[in-house]
Amino acid sequence: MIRSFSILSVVVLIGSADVAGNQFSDISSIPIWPKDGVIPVEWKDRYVFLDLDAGQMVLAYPEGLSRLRSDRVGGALRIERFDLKNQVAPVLSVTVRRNSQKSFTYEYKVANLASAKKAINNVRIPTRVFGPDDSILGPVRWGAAASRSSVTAIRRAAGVEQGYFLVWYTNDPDSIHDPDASAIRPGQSLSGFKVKSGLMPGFTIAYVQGGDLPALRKDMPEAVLEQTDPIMQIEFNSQNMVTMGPKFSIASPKSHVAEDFRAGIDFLIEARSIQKDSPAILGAQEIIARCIDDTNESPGQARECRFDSTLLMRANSTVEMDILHAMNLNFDE
Amino acid sequence: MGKCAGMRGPVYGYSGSSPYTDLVRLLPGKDWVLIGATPYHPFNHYGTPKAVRGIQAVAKQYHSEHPQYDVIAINDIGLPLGGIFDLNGNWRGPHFSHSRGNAVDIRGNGRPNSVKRMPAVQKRFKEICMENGAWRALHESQGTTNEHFHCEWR
Repeated sequence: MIRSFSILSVVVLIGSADVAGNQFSDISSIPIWPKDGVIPVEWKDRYVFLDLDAGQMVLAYPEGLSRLRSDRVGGALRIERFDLKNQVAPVLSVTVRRNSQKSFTYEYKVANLASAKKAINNVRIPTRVFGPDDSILGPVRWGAAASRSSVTAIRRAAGVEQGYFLVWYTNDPDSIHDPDASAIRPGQSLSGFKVKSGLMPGFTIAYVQGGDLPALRKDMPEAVLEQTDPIMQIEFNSQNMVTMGPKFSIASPKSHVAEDFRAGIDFLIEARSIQKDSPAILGAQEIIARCIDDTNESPGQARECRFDSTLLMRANSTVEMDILHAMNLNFDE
Repeated sequence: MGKCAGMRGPVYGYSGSSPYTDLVRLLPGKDWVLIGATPYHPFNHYGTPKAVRGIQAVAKQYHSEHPQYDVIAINDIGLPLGGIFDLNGNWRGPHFSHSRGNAVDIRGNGRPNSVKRMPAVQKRFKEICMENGAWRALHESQGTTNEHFHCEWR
């Protein structure tokens, strides 16, 4: 069975709740670089800024600032700019195919809108487990790997302390001559990002990047480097896209799956990707509510976690259809 | 151990500040080789448990993604008790960031067991450090005999 999902271009704003409703520390405490370049006095101890228009991190610190101590301040202001890796404009779509009762193939297509400043060279989708029967493949001249990790970006998307990044990255020998060789340049798209997983689909976040990590130097003042920390994290220094990915084992309680879809639908309503009064969405929410209530009252029974296939006919957008197809895979097959 | 005046032999420790007693030794493994021991610092692979776990994971991941290349060479992490890692045996830097055992240098100069000198691989190597909890990953002294990667944990 093939299910194509194309809802999956909703940007998750850093600092807002994730798709599961969890709050994470944001980077709103990072000051925005003043357009006139004059740093207000109340920011005298702030050395790291964001220039959102330029898509850059700006370091501005006194040349006399000691490497190890922040109390030795003096000298002219030294200003250095570094491109961020989130200067891409991705659109993801995914086709999910059931191979067998316990195996699914996810195939993503990644586009980079013409408005992007950088070519896409890295895509990460967190998942909870990557078993011995699972596999990952990338397009030609792209590497693909499952990379075990316990960073915040994993917790945020997969809801576990330790999981895996399904990661695709450019791996082109021509990068010696062209750093963007095989990368998805603005206005282009690329298919062939595949993963075979034993997990059924659920809402997750894809982290998409371009460019290279900021080339900070070891000899920069410690006080400056410390303030770069939140910006360097994957969840900030990427475009965060809501997508469907491998998430639930066959044995997962259906109430957990239903909770995930409830949170995901709420998120998409909030993001105005779907209408809260749409008949299809109301129908989906009814199924979810019944499933949660029923499994709470009768653990293990889950007889009400059944998908009503007539609901598919009530979908009036691709987004709605995609949600319903994903629910269908989880609840009815 | 501690700050020594005059005679200089192998140094295990620190200078000026309290020693770090929680550092653990990175032992040889199938996914990495250890390099960089000197007469001054015969034990240069002590790090915080978090950093050592991170380094092991980075080496394993790199090897799994690039089995056709050498496993990586792990140079200085920290001394058994932390403190100033004076490369030249003079109680001075420039190895400040290795004083707490939370940073590692990885060979990148093209000698055996270097991270492959290919931009895509080098870029990916830094990303592997970040995926394994490093808060910064640097590619330093590029094009020189000292070219290396520096990954650092908190």
